[in-house]
Amino acid sequence: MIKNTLKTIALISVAVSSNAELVSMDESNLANISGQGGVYLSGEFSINKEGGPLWEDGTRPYYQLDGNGEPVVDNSISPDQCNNGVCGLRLAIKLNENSEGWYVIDDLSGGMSFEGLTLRTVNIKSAVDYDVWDDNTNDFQIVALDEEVLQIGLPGKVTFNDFKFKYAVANNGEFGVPLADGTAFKQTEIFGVELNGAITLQGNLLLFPVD
Amino acid sequence: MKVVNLIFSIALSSSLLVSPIALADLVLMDELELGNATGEGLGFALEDFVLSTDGASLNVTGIEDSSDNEIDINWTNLYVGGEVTEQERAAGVTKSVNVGSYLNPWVIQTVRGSMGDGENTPTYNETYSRVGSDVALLELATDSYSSNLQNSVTFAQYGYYESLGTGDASENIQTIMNDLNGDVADIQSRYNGVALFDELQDSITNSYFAPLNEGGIQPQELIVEGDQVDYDNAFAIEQPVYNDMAELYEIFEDTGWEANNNLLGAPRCSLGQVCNDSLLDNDIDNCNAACDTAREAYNEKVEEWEPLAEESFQTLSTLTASRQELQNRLNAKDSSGVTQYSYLERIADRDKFVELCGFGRDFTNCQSGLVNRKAGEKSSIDDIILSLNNGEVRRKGFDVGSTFEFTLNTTDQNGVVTTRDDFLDVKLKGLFIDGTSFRFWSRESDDLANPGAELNGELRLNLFARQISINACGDLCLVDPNVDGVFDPVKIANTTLNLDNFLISLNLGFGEIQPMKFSATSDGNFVFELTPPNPNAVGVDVNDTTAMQNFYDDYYANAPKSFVYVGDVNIGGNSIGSTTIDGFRAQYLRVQSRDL
Repeated sequence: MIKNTLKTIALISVAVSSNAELVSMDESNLANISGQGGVYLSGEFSINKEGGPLWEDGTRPYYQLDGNGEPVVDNSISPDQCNNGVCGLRLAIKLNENSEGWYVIDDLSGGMSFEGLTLRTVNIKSAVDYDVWDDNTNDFQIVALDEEVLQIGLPGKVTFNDFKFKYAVANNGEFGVPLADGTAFKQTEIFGVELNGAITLQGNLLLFPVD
Repeated sequence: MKVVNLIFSIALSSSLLVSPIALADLVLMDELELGNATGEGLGFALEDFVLSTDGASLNVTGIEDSSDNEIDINWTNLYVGGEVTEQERAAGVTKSVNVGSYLNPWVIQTVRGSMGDGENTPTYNETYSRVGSDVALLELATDSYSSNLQNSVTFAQYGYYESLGTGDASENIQTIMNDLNGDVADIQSRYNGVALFDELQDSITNSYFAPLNEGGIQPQELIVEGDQVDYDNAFAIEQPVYNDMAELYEIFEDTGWEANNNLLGAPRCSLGQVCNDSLLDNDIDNCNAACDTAREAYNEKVEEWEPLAEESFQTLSTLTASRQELQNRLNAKDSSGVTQYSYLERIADRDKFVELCGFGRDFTNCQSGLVNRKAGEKSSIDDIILSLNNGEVRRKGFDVGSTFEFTLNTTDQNGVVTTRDDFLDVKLKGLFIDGTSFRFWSRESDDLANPGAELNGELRLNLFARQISINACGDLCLVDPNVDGVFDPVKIANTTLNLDNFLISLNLGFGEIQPMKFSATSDGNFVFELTPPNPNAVGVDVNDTTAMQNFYDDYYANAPKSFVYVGDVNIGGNSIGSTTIDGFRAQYLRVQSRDL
């Protein structure tokens, strides 16, 4: 089973009276507050940290096709052992309807946590136009705008806990299942990445529609 | 797409403060605002962005050595931030970077192809005019700029021409253009009176296909081909007989004969033995048996060979003569008219004209081709010089750094296996990737054996870096080998490969005519293919010569070319010079991975 832990933190700004106690606010005071609208998120999620539902015992069997062309477990081939007895997620994508090959992200597992991802709309009042030079200010021209954009504040630090995946190419979408014409399943691992620890990810991501 | 084995969930909770002065809240858009947002695409921009994996351990797995042992690859750092000057870098200053901006965003969008739409229709967009209007493309594009100073490709070309000669960039490219225009004028003056390119082309075709008795080239080529076949056949018959003859002569020699002055040319057969001429007719009557047998066998073979050699010689003489005649025809000149220049000269002039002026039909005007391309580059360069003189500056780019540490097994000559640490440090300083885009769309495969939809793509990659530094020194450049992390800057500088003013502008794929295709083979390897230009994809009748000529003219005139410029390559401060690969284009490319 996957354990999920959630942390949420709500930001509340409070009008502080002179004696700094928590007091209830009346309507007129509340009306003067321009709050930090938006969302502040912290989260932790993990993928298959303790294995997934398909390959629970940490092994991935190989199959053969029976008389009706249905896959059945092939006991003559020893199953694929997942690292540390924990099988990660497998994602396979075929780019062409007629090709036999699949691009695969395999053994994706691990945890990721972040704190301080913010989400809000911001009204852009001006933007720099790098294509036009303003001789008066001797800088790039500033264009006046009145546009709403979605601003996602990146969390600053994102911590990975045993996060890993492999990039591979395979000849079938399902692991271990041979092709309809009997060709054995084959997956070629190209490289894998393992990430552990905190990475710095700072900045603001603006999202907006374009024509 | 098949997704298996995935269970995860995130639950969010949020709190919102709503106040009457809702300056920055998520608010409902009214109809008028909604009407303005057509939402065909999503623009995004990153402000004050920094990515650094310094605090994390990042490993690359799955790479094995020749003994199938996995190599330990530690990706010790990946850094993406803002461009800093060398002084700032030495002082350890780091900056953030803006990736795109509101008015010049990175974009993910779907667009409709414009091929077949008239240029004046509102849906026409030249950028997508090579893909059919019955499909939508998915485009991922970085920021793009109309200002020549901000456009990194034109700016890099300006830098390239600045370094090329003694003047400024504009003067240097003008010198090149003057040479090119001179070449065009030379060709045009040779063919004074020719107004249309087709006149030159027709004279070439006429010379080639003229009858044999009128100096025709093709009939003579056929004669040469026939004579070549005759000679090859004669030689194929003669050669084994000659080889046998040479072998028999060696056998004969080994039996020990030597020239005997007493009998004219008659040999002794073995040491001490004399070949007898008891009949006194200057011919050998009596010799030891082995020598005699060998000598007779050799002589018979000579008699067999001599007529074959004569045949070979005759056919070779005929071939030489017909080749000479072909050369004469290729170089023949009349006294006047277009044909006062030989066939070979006219072909060289025609090819040079096409390279310089493109495929336009007007011989007196240079409409496209290299001259036109240089003129376009010069106009951008002039614009940049104007901007720089006006005090304009370029925006700041990225700094990207990546370091790897490899732990390898090495075996010395005694077979002792030890480990060795290797390092690779790559820094891209002042990096710009504006003008890059990837476009994808789907088409039915035209391979009847393999029907189905395929992913087609087009790539426009522009990468300009003020400097790329590559260093593999690692622990050998430490100040103190026992103290990690403190490097000697002089040693680092002496062992670094620097590529200054590096531009790669890679353009692969040209719409429906020449898409990029991605696939994977059934044995688990990926394939990337750029097909040859395909007339069937745009409905050109392959049997119609004129239509096919126009198809290829259009392809060669319009399919984009790729460039690589490196302003200066230097190692440890020693400059090797600049590198240029200018204007190349792949007509067929296939890249396939293999399991080693």
